[in-house]
Amino acid sequence: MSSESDHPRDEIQDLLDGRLDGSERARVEQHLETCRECRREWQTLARVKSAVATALKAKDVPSDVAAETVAALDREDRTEESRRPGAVPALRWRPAAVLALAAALAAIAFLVLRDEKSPTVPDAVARDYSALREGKLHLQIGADEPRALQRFFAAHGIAFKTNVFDLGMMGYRLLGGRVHTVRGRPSALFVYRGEQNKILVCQMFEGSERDLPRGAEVRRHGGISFFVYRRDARTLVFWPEGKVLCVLTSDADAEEVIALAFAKAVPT
Amino acid sequence: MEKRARFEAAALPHLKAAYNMALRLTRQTEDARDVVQETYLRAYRTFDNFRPGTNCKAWLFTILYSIFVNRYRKEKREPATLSVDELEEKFHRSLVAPERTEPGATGRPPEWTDREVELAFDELPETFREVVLLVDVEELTYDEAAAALGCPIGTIRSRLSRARKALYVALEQYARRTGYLKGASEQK
Repeated sequence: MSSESDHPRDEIQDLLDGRLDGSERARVEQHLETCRECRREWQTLARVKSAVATALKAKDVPSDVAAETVAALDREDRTEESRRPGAVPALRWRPAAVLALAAALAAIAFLVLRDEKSPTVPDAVARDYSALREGKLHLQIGADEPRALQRFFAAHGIAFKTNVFDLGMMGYRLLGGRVHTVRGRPSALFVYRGEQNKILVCQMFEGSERDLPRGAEVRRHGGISFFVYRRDARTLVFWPEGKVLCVLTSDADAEEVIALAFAKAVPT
Repeated sequence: MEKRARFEAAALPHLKAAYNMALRLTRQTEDARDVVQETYLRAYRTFDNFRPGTNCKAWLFTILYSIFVNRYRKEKREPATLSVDELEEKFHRSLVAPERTEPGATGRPPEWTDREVELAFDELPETFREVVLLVDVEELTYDEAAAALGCPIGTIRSRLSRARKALYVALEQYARRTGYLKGASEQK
């Protein structure tokens, strides 16, 4: 105990900050029981500590701070990549992606020429995926906790209940999300990253299978119909959940994307 | 797992705390954004130095503080204007004063509002603000706070002690001004 044995001030602070082991702690607590002055000091400092922790604790971060930070990391990856040719990073150019993108752009150009009104839902979703991959579309919030993201969507104009799922068991980690639009409808968009830089994007927006064009491969699982489209190297799997249409898009193996959708679809 | 994914898993959950720390140190939202972004970039570049299993938040704050000190600290580092003896004396006088002057009081001290705490905190010298943020708000250990601020543990302990006492003295002054403890002001 301190040299100031009548009033062990340093130890009172240590007690407050959880720095005493069992026997020291017991000794100081015993002292507090008998010394009114020290008890009062301890209570007062505890009150200050607690008030400070409450009043100064982190408030919400502006959503664009998270997006800017993730974008800065993307830029850093690109810079690093240009210094180190040969590596295969995520969200960056690589020959296959360039070809795939060129093909996608050609396909989009064709569709736009064919139907000037707007692309189909799968084309719009595939385009969003490419934009995310290229860093043209940013996440508004970085979050690895599904509920934090659900709260974000609820607070930013998504009127339906979002179902942000945890895919950790399947090797995909939640990165964050943004409030987006699919053909003018608000969409909750969230992104996962898997091994080997596979990116998985989920979007949820109000709609039904009637919004989907012909040409889907239909799979049935657990009483739900899944509509599978392939756009270049991407696989898109749509399924309805009540009045909401969900879609998973990824450049992972098509059967893996379908299996992920099967695992996460909620029967209604 | 690749570096980027490992980094994001370890560091992104502390973004809110980092922004709060940056904002409370710089007091400017634009500067706070820049400090956070630079912190994350530098942390990412030096992520190989981070030892898994140690406190990632403390490691980020060490980087953040160094960026703040070197690039964003605008105010001169002001010395504490109150001597240790003066502060101790004021603190202990505040401790005993209300009870002597309000024998009829219920005994439960009035709660301070968050605004009052923030005001009192903003009046503290920077050396005190830092340590209060790291230990009381972000719950770093003394060792982690000492590493982040680059000072001995004894300095953390003494600054923390003085900071809390100074906060209490300031908060009690607000309380007197707003009339919680009418008798106390007549006591002097």
